[in-house]
Amino acid sequence: MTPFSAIAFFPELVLLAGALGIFVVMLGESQGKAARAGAIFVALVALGASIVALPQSTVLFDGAYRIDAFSQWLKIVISAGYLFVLLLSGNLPDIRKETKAEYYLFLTLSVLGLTMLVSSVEVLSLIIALELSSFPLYLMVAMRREREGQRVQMESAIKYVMFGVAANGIMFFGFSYLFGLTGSTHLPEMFVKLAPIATTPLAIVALTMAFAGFYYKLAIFPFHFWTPDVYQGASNETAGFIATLPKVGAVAVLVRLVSLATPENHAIATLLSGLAILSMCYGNLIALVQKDFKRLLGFSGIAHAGYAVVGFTAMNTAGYTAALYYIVGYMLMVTACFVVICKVSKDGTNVEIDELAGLHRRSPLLALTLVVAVFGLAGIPPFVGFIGKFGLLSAALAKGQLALVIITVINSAIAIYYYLQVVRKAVFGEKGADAPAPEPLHLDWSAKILCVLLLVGIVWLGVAPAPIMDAIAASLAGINLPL
Amino acid sequence: MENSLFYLFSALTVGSALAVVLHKNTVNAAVCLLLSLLGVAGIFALLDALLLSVLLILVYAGAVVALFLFIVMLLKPQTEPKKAYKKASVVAGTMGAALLGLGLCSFVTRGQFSTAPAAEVFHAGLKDYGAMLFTTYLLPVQVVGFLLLIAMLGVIVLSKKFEGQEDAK
Repeated sequence: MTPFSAIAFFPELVLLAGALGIFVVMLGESQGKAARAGAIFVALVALGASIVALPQSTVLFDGAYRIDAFSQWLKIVISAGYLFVLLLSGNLPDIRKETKAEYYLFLTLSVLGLTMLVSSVEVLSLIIALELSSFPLYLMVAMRREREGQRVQMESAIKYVMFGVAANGIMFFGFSYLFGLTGSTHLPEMFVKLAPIATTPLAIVALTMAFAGFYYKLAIFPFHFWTPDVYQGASNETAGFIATLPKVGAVAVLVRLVSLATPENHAIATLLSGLAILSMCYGNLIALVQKDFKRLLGFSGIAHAGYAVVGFTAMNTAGYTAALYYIVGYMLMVTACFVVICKVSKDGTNVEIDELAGLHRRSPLLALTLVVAVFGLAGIPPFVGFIGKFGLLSAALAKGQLALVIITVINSAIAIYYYLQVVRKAVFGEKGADAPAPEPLHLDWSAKILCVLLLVGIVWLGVAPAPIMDAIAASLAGINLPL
Repeated sequence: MENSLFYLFSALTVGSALAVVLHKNTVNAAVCLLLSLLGVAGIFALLDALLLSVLLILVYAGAVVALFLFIVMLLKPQTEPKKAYKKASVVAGTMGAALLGLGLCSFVTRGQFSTAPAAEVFHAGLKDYGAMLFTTYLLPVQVVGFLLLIAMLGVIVLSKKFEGQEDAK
């Protein structure tokens, strides 16, 4: 047994201590501001801790918890995403002031669950970490303030819980088959024992069902039904969180799980391509007619999940690298869209696309953020969306998935229409020359910093992808081999 | 002897599980669920997992089903008149059943149950169980504490009535 290394476990310890700290703050009355300041501090320390713990490589808890390059860089991404969501959240206009502190506690615990998720290589730890990241989200959706005649947040929360429970049930069933086939709950051990029987029907069914819980997090086609309703019903900040970080976690775990199947597993590859195609077409076609910006992002999120799965169909390092790179880029772009939603929204209400009109005069920085993010999502160079999609397509093409590549490209073309519609509204959609000048939007310091960080991230990842892609590919080597 | 017991418990489990789904009266369905869980506990006991079978009876039969019954009786269920199934759900159900049948057939004909090494026989005594909880499963056990904290806080946050709830500021 390796000695317990506190430095390897540092990011988790920081988040744990932070959650307890926020719990103490929460005991006072209406401590929303203090809790936010505390959470931002925790996020900064967690980010620092993840960077300090980056070179670590060890296994903890009898092999149940694995600290390697793969998990460590993802922890940096997750801590950064946590910081982004906190900067985005402003003063949470749509959460009751009595429960704002609780909201930050739930947020921190959910992030803790995600950091544990990317390191767990033992099925029970994995499941508990997944639940830890999901439970707070169910509550955060339901915590939106009630308005006159509006209980939509409760409906969304119930949908989210029901779909989550059903998808998790299928996943547990799949894991129980995997355990029955291999006699182990450790993923590296499973990998060795599953390799000779990975193409038998039972193994394929087991893997397929085990993926279900992560399809649900990622909003892949048969598990996507919650997405638009939850985006619409949850408060803007909550939707911004649900749309970004859990998807990064889901892709990371899917990488571990899909690599359990042997490289030449046609059944799994076909299944993944089918799901990718269905998600893309469904998401993009329905997004075309959306009026609510959050619903539009919800449907486009389904389509983007489909793009990410295109990388998995290659079932090799190039494909996984592209999928991870894409989802990190997606996180940046969608966070940028949600900054705009949160700031344009009046008193925390949902934002129609028409409400974006004249944004470039109300706040040039916000308009620039929106335009860059939406161009990125549409896959226009030089932003990260383009290079990410390029990586996905070249990985799939190298495996001879020509049909899949063509369908993906067609879908990207469809998507450009509704993305440009958003830009058109924001930049050219003014009511006429004689209309009164729209009132300028005031951005606080946190929103400004966040906009600049996201802009730099989206452009930087789009212009200089090579070092990061190489680092991701290197971290994927031996992901299922014992340390 | 053991074989016949296994079949007895399996029949109990599957039969009462079917009854859970098919029974109109919710209270009866919950009681059938109890029977089904007892069957599963019996199978665990046959597999020498005595601790697990006792826990199953204590937690599920004792607490969870009692909670179900409590909620069901609070809600005063009315027996609804029998509704005809929609055409779409009949089609979907048939397709699902066909897929399941196909899957089962392929397990029987092409499945390779024997190639997989059997799981190590692990006589889950209380002592081994405790030892594992504090080594391999230390992290999940600790994290479950946080899950309970979240659940408690969630119940408070969602059920508490706040003053001036409807004010739109």
